[in-house]
Amino acid sequence: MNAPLIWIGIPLILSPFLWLPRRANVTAFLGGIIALFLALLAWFLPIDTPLRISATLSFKLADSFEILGRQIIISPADQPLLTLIYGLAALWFFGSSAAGVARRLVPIGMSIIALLVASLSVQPFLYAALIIQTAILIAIPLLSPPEKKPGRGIIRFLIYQTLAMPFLLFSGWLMAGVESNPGDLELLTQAATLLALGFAFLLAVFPLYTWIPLLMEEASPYAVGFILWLLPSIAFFFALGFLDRYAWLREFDQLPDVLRSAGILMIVTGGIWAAFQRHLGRMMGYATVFNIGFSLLALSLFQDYQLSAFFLFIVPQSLALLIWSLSLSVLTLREGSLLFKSRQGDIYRYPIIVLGLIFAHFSTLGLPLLAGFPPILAAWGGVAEKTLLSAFWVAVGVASLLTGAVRTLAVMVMSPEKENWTLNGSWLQNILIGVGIFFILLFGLFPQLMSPLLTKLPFAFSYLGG
Amino acid sequence: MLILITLSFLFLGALALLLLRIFNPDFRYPWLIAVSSIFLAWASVLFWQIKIPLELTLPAWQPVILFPDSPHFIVDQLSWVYAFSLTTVGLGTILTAIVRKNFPSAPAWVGILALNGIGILAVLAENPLALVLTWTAIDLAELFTLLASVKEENLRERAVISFSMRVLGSGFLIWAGLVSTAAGTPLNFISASKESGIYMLIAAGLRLGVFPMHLPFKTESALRRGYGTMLRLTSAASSLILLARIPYESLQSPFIPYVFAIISLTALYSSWMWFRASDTLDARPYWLLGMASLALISSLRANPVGSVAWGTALILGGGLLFLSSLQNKWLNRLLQLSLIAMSTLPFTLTATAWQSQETLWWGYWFILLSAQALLLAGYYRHAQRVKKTDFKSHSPLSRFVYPLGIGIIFFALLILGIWGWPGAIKIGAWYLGLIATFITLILIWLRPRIRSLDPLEAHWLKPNTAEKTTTGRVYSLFWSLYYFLRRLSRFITNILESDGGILWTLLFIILFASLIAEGIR
Repeated sequence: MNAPLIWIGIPLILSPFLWLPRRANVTAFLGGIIALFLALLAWFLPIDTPLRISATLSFKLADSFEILGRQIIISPADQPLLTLIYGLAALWFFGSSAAGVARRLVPIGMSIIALLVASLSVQPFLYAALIIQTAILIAIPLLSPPEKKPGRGIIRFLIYQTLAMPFLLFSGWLMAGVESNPGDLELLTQAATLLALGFAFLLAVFPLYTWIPLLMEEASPYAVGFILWLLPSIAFFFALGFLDRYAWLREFDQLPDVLRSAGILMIVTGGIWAAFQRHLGRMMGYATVFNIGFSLLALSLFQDYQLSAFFLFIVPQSLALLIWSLSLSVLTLREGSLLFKSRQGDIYRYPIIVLGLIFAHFSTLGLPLLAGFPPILAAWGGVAEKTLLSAFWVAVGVASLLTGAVRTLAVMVMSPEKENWTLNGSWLQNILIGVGIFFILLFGLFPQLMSPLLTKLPFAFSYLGG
Repeated sequence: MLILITLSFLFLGALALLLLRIFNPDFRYPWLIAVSSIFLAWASVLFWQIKIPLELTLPAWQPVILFPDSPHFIVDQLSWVYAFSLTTVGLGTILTAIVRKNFPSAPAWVGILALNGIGILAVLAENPLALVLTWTAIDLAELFTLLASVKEENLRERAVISFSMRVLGSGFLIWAGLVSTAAGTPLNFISASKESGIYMLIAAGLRLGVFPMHLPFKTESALRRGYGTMLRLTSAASSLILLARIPYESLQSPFIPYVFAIISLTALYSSWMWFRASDTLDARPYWLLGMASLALISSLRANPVGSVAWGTALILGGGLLFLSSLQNKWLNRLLQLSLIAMSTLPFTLTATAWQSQETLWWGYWFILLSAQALLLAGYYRHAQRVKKTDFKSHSPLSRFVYPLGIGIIFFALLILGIWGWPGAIKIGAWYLGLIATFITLILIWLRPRIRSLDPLEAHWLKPNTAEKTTTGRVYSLFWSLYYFLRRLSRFITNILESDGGILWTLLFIILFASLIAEGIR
């Protein structure tokens, strides 16, 4: 038995079977339980350490698996990362039934996660780009069902994500040269430029994020939310792998400035664009751009805080995105349109669903008391120590996203006639969103609750983790 | 521990009422539970005096490298006064609830108890992080209460606007922290960089509606007298505590003289409006604005004790007046006597209000003393105009409990003049108090004799909305900018999302690539 078989093989094998149940609830439940089980295994089951079962019997989980001459290695240091990925995936799978996409999201999502975990573990690690590309291709039926004509968003998503692959492969090829010949400035310039472009496509850095709002209009908000949670997270871990591996890249003087500038660009443009949207889905899309910006900003602080600022963002951002996309999916399922003019006065018809939407939005922009506040405060403070001008631009982005939140709130309470309160939406939908709001508040007040996981996550990156 | 005991009384009381409301709606004694909870909390706050300073630290935020500060609360002489005032008004609110038309109203009492708990945490905040968290809790409570209680579309929108202004205020406090950190002095209430003070002042001003002057709720009769009063006063107290905490060294910005002038004018304007207003509850924002402006002025004059004096007078004086709804000879006298506590005369609550080592241009004294006199004269007038409801028509219990509620606030106003905090038993700037009292008496005497000072209620006249005011022009300028940015963002979005968008994007990419390559070289 080996670790890759458990965390990559089993989900890949099980994913086709998740198509079998006829009821979406069963699919969602099974998917959630499997992911939760894998997360718990990752937390408790030691890798590469003999486990004594009885006096004569012991068991050791190997950390590697060879396939076609390549190795897939999951070391003990990767276990917290697996716990995080599968734990959050379990939440997404449990919520998928309430969002009405369980039968597509759970099987496809499970295989995408397995592939993306493989991409983080494959050796030589350049093959990761190919595996990520496979995962992106598998994501297409999730975002655009076969019976539906693909829209501009899906095509653009495919183009931009596919363009990332050659840049990353080329840069990886050049980097091997840089390692053997570090004095070659020309080679270094080419490698760094190609790498930056590859990740710009993968992380949808401005202006490469146009597919996000388009996709939010075309596809199920929950399915897009899942992809917007998973892909950037894995892309970031992949980027951390590069940084961890190449000393010259890690010690590159301009790197923090580049990351900070890109982050601020994302925060400002995402925030400003969100402020003027009239479609709730597009608003969420731009908020995701804002999220990626903050993650880049936190990453730019790695020389001061290692990766603690970066990892602090993962759970709050994922939780807010989950609640937000679930709320939007419920509104889409029940009302159809997510345009402002159609959603006036919804707070009186869907109080908990709309509260979920509003709390998720406020958490994303870092409203105090909500889960997004502690990481944003930490990253913002770190940036302010470097340059107050950058902190000011971050303030512009946050204020713009706040404008979007206030507009959403204003629309939700705007009702021409005096409406009475009614509780619409199924019990499952209301309970899931209610629990989500509770956790958003809990992590906002006690961010240290995430600490047991966060302290172990950086060990997956031996140099950056400190 | 003592802080936790007080908070437990409040939050457990609220929880008990809530559970009873859900599981036993016919329970007959919710009011007794509410009164017991708030009374025990009030009494425990009095006991804090024995062990001041008291501290309450929440579990530290981690990782510590990112969060050098964690939410921390402290009872010192200044925060105790606010906590005592808030619990006193809370006690008064629940005691006087016995005569309200909506009695019994368990949901409102749940709100009052919970709000009191959060308000106490806000005034005890020892660092900006704790303050900003409690501010948001109050803001969210206010927002959801308003949305749940008002039905008119414009009032709902105003609730959202009010919420945004307050959040913006919280944002300025966070920004003050960042500015201070950038200057190498992490922000706390003991030390702050000189660049950050102005932002803290703006934060408090924005939340109080003073700077820039705005009244999100011009009419708020939709809010009930009891809960509405508690909400407004808690919100004000939570912002006023910041004024007492701003380190004076941080208020050295070149903009401070302008801020001072604006606040003085705001004080004068709002006190004038308060003086002329005919409906007490409608005029409530002017009272808050006027008194809060005077508290701001004290802070700017390096007098945190004076700022607390004004703040406490705002809460207790306001609570006393806004909770009064029954006419009785003795109660009216109590209301009028309470003016002494706000007169800045020696041995009163506000004796230290005008004290300062800073000199002030005489023109400002003219404005500020006039503002104080107008506020006091207006208070006297509103106290006279308490609606004439027959006191004797109420039950004997109500006739006993209601005056107790009013009396306890009055008692607090008087007792704070001689006990419990650094502003007690002080002579202060007695001559200024005398001048203010003299002007107040003149205004009270003049009011019925000069018609322009006593406008009749004219409901049939529609206000002239066609004429654009300066504020209106500022707002239209703001909206023009907003629409311009919206058109610009749509234009760019259309370009990038259209079929040619990919080409534009590739152009950008080539541009970026060349920039990155140049940067690396």
